[in-house]
Amino acid sequence: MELTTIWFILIAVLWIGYFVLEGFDFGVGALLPVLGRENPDDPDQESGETRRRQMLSSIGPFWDGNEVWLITAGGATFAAFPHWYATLFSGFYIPLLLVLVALIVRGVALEYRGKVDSARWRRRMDAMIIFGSVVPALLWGVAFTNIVRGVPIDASMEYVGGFWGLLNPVALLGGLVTLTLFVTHGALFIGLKTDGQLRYDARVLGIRVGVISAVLAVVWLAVIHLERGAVVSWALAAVAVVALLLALGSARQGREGWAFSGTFVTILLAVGSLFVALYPDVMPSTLNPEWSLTVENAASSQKTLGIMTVVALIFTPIVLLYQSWTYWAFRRRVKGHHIPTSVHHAAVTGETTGLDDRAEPAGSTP
Amino acid sequence: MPKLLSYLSTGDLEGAVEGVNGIQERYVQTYAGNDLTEVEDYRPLMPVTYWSFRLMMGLGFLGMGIGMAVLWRLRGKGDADGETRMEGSRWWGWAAATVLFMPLFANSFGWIFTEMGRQPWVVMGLMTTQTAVSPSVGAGTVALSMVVYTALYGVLAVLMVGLSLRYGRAGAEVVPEDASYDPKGRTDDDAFVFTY
Repeated sequence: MELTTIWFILIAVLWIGYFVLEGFDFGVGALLPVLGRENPDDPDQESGETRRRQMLSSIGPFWDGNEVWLITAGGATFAAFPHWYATLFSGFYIPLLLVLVALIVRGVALEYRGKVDSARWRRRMDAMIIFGSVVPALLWGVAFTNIVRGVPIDASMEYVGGFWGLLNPVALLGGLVTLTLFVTHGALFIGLKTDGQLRYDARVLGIRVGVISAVLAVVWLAVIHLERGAVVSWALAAVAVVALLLALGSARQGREGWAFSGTFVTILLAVGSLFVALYPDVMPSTLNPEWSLTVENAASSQKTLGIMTVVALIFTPIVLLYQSWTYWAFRRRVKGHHIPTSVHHAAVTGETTGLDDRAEPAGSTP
Repeated sequence: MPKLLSYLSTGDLEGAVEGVNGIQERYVQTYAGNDLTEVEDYRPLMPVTYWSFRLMMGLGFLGMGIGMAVLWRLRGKGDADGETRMEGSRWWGWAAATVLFMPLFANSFGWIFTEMGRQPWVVMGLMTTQTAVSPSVGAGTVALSMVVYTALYGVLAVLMVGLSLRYGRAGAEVVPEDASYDPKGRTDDDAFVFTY
């Protein structure tokens, strides 16, 4: 097999890994305002704050590791297909700026949320987490729809479509598909990783959003594969939709492990079908097929690809091993009573910055 | 240091390191006439490289120095009440706190030094920065992203310093040792959780 093909496949695997993993933590973040509220029917009367902290704790050990897949996908593109990287990152400058800002804001908010014991502080951090989860979940769908369907690229490999050209109806539909799919994935993850009323509520919500997602995904995948698909990509897309339906069926029966595996496979195959439809192009041009970026004309030298193949063969298994270990170590459900009443130290309240709305400072310095 | 700079710059202990004043004429002869490599002035902005290098090294070593002084001050087990020599001294407290920021600033000035010092090249000898600019990203767009990132990092810096001050003022909490903790006696319900 050609080195360029190997690297195309590897980059596809990195993006797939990114979406199946970060997809659920985007979903959990986006669901904070929906599932992170007290349910009047809850026999345990768990507070909204306890539920929100269970949700965040369920993704706590994983979200930053999941983001590494994005960095490696970007890095691998830069090294293996520099022209692809250049056209993509310059052409999609504003949307990628938005994604980056959202990811920065989200990461900081996740880590800073528990640093100040104040309801106002936590509300602000929650708003940042929600923004930082919804915006990328939506924009990745927009970006990938445009990449696969093609964008205006001129003879010198420059994107000439402008910002608004990216926001065409099919791309926006793609954004809605990734958003709803990630929300479903996240809801089923909460169902798998928490307990009590929250677990049940998440499952019910996952099924509802999942149905909407399935309808949108069928239309979106059909449009893309009618334009660019072949037998293999059609087959992958069809199995992706079947997997989603099986996931929702499993969720109905309360089989959470199967349900989450179902959305995992759905995202894997749906994104996989896009890359199959894309190959051998990496960024097709809508102006002239001759001007499309392909695995051949966008690739770096054979020597670079050869060195990178050796590096990837050594390090990819190591990364997979330690990431799997994290998932194994934190395999238990996060329950309401695991959440301590004070996160860090109670002394950090009040007076100093005026960020608190608690009446009295808790002076717990020993 | 004799020979070391030669080795760093040229890979040869006897190599000659050329001063910046001499390069202009030679670079014009070598690189002018090619669209990718032609610029009027091949010298970087000297005051920026000069001072950013000194700030990088100065702050880095200052941070290390203060850090070692604080460590020295912390030696021993403290007095009869368990008070270390750090406690009760505002000056030492502030000195310890500033050490946190020294590597950050030293690193930043180091980046400014390398990025400004390599101008006008983006790839030495092959491509100048002005020819590397992407035609599809206009100056306005670049300016917008600069403003956005600067504002964002500005806000984050304020938050970070604010939190550091809060935690610094609150002091460290004494964590009692939990004698009953037995890692082998865990039940299924004692989940290994990482609470947020």
